Amino acid sequence: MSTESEGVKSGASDGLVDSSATEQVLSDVVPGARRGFAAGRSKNVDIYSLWPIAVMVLIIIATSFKSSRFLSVYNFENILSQASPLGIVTMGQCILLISGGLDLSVGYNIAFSSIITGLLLEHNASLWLAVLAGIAAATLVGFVNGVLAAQGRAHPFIITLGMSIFLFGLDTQLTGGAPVNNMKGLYSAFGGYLPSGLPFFGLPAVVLPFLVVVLFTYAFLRWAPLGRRAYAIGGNEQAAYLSGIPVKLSKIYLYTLMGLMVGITGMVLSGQINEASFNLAQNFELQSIACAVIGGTALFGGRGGAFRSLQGVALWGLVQNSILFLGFTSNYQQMALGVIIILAVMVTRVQR
Amino acid sequence: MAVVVTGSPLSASPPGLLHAEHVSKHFPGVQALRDIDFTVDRGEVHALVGQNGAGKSTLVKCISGVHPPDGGRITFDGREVTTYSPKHAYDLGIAVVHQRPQLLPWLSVTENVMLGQLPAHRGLVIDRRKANELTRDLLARLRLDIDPKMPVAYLSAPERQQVAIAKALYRQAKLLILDEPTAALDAQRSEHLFSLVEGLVREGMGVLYVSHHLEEIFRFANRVTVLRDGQLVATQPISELSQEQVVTLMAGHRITQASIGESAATTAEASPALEFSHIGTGVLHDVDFVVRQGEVVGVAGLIGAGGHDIAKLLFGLDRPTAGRVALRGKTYDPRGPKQAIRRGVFMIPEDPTRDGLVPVLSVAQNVTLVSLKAITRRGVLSLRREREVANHFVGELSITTSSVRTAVRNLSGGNQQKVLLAKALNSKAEVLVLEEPTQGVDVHAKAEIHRIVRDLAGRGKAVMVVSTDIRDLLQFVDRIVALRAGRVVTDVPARTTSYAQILDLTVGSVAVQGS
Amino acid sequence: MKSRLVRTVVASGTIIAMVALALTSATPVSASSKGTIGFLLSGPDLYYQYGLKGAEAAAAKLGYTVKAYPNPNISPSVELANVKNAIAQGVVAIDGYSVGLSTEDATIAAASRANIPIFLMYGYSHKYLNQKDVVGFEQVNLSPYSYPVGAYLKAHVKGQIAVITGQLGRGDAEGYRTGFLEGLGCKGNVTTGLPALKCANGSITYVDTETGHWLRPDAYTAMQDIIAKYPNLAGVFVENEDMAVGAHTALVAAHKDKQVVEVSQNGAPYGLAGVAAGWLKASDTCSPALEGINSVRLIDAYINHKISGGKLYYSYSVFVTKANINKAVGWTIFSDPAAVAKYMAQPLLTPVAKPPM
Repeated sequence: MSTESEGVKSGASDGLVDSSATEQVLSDVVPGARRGFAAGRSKNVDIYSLWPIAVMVLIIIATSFKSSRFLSVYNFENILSQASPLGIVTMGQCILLISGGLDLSVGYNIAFSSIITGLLLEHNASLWLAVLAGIAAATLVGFVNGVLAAQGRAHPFIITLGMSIFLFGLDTQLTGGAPVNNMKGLYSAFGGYLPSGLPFFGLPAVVLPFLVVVLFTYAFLRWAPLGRRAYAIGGNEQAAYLSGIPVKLSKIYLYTLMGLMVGITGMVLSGQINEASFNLAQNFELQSIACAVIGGTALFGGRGGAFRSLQGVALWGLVQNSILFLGFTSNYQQMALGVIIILAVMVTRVQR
Repeated sequence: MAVVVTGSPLSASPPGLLHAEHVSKHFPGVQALRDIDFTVDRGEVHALVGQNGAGKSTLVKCISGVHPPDGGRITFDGREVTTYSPKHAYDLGIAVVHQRPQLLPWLSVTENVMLGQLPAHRGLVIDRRKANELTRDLLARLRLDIDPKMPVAYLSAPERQQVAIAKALYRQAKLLILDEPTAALDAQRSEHLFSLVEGLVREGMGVLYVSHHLEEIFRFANRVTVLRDGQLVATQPISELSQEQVVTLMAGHRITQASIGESAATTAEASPALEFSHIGTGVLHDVDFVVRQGEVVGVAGLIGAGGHDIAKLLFGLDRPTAGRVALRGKTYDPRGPKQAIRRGVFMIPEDPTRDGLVPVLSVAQNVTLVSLKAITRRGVLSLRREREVANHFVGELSITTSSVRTAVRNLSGGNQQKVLLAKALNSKAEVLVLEEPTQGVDVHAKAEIHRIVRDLAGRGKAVMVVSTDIRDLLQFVDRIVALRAGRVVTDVPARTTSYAQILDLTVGSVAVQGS
Repeated sequence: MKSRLVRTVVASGTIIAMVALALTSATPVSASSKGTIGFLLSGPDLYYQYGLKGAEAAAAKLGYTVKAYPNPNISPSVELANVKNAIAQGVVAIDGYSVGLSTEDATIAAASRANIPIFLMYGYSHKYLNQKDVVGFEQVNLSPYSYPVGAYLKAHVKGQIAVITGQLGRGDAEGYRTGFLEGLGCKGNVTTGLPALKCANGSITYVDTETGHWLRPDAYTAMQDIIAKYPNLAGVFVENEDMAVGAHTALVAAHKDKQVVEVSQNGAPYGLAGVAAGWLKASDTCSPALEGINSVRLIDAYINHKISGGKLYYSYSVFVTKANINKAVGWTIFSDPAAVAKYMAQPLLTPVAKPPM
């Protein structure tokens, strides 16, 4: 019947589901007609889901007219380095959104993990211990989020918002408002560039963990049983439950996984900026959700994919950068990003 | 605004209330309606039947103003309809009561019934007292026992339907379109609905009755129109046709019913798969019965009589406060669906889209959801294996879909049910519990589901079917266990009983019979 | 049964916690104390903590206690609630920072209505100086503060320069930029401070300005973007040192830290470390701890009728480079009793004769 490898598709699981709207109209009306109509187009490429790429091409063309520096290698690397930490969190947010949840504590949790690591480094702990502790701290936060969300008494929106506020207080308490100024080994790891030539091409160091996380997310959503369960729980939690899926346990795993990714982001971001403080990643929660949504992840669950969220991150990073090159102030950045989010949500509704 | 009923006896006024002439409707890629000529008279119950996809809902939508026909015209009450909008249809006097009525859940009954036309002082301030009084009168006239001030969300599904009918009356509807009205009703409430409709018709209202339940149609419709593939195949007085003839007209060919009670294994000797001993819950009292391997047992009863609770018990969604359930001799007390499935029990819930399937996922993904382990190799899902499993079931159950990668929500209701059945089979359960498996499903698909269930029994599985549709059960189960108010009132082979008997037992007008 | 137990435990736990909190937050008033000064913080930043600690050091010497009112979210409504709580708790004066212009209006009005003297650091509009009970404002003189930084770059750099500002909109970030451009000798509209301007008799061009919102990560991104646009940048002025560290990290990543001369202001510990290390070439320093010390001294003088109210005071600032780095007033002087004594022995600040509006 159908082959595995195809271009970009609509619906769930990055191409494993064929859910064009026209099929529905036809099958409602005349059972036999579907086969006749669809026979000539067995693979429906959903052009709607490619809109971020189209917009990006337009933006690149428009901005390069205005500024010759825009198309430089250095600027391209800039965009990558600015988008990478956000991208790692977006992948985690994508997974959570698919399962019908979300995590608003991301920003201050990133800061939390970086602060734990930073404080340990300040006290001359070994790099590995400090990094492990930082990632473990964020994972623990994710675990707590998961346990609370799995109870089902309150919406994860409220739970993770509460956690966000708690972490903000904890972050400022731990540092007294003072940033940790030297991330030592982390800075050496993520502050600069990868070796030039194959296979790294001298890209900024933060791109490597980002790429790894993207590939992991893709594999997870496609081939891991827990990834499949995430789609089921987000798509119809009751049906998933009645199919014997351990819903509560799965949610706990998923939020804990998110915590892990947040911890990784904390290491990468604090290494890049060489600072650990409470304001390291403010607004990352909203930005990561926005990027996931731009990438076609539904806010209500059941739909989304790694590479499509990647498009969201890429568009986000590109818009931030091009607005400045076009000569607008950062206020216009905010406005443009807001417009894109609204567009993204409307496109998703059309797809339904 | 008092309710005024246009009560003119049939003979005195021109009978044609609704005329559809040469109505056609085209959707991208398909002709949904082709040259339909059709009338509904005042004081008539006109039944509209056809398989899923024949065009019934499209025709209803054209009449009720949801979309205009591409060709032909519709005349209502002597005037041609030129504007097509649901509001305009309502103003003209056409009211539709859907299967799941679209009411505003947090407004009261009165506010829903009088939506947009509440009585007001000088058009500014709503006169609540007067509104509630009027609604109370209306409900009393219809012999409905509902509190007009109660928010609709607290009403049961049948009560909501009744509110929708009251709303239609308040708007002085002349034509009432009922779409699958008894789908969510049990026998008792269906009877109530029928007498309500008969009363309205006597007063001159025209009723267009869309349904799959041929028995009902044969009971009180005057004429029947059969649609097939978008075309009108026949319009005839019901007295001139037999049920079989109608079914043949709908399908275009003869359909054989599944054989009743003639399963290969003589079930009396087969070992019990499920044993209920003195089961008690909030609803159930001292429930005792057995389901054997290779047997199909139908659990009949009104809504709330306990059938649904038995199903929940079996699937771990509830626990008995008294008694014991044994599965193949061992005590069975699952703490949730996961445990139930592990022990070989699977339940197909009542509403497949809502509870049984994940609509956005594909056929393959839904079928394998119940047993991800089986397609997991070395910790990772094998998509190839997933497709193999799905294709296997698509073939076995004749599921109509262009590929196993189609999203389940794009399939017709009957095929969705089959995907659920495929899931059940994939769970390798030895005991299957089906809740209302043929609800809202057309005749053709119903027969297929009967066949599949009998086939499952033939393979040695124990099947329990909980349903409020007694007639349907009698067509394919081995034994009937009837419940009333949480107690077993009879437990007999299906062959030895009848619809009337079971109906009486479940409703309560006859004393309890021994099994 | 179980949920009822849980609810009881949670409820009693909350009540106990609230009672404990109330008890511990009551300020003990020592017998010899001349009263409590309420100190408003306007954010979680270390900067405000240092101001607080300076005030506490001075207060200890003068016989007052200080109670801090935190405002971690930089929220106007929290500030107003803090002021009202302070008044209700019977403070003899209010000191500290305000979040913004409109909040300042409400804060001063509240103090005035309660007849409590109020002294603010960084008053946003000097028209409030004339209100009853306003002891005064203390702050750096915005433009002159950044002027020497601009003069330094003018003398040491040729080519393109850029400015990374703090959060625009409150007036201070704009004021600093104006002062810097004046020091740089730019021709044109330095008040709006937008590029491009010719400066230093044509040897310097001011090409770009971006905002870092006073935050290090944002300054990092801003520096990346500026360098991308102007790869031959010769110098950059960053309006505080937290951002300067971020900009420096970005320059190092781009291998341009030797090419671009970086200057800043404030004199924070990590800033002075940067000057000592050599990557930050100059900084105009001002110690919030010293500002805190001065504020309490002035309040004390006002309460004892030694000075009249409604005055603007400019903070003491020192322009440092690596050569005279030890002249900077440290931010941590409050922990050194000798330093505290030295600064408290100096004469009180002189009020500014004609405060600019």
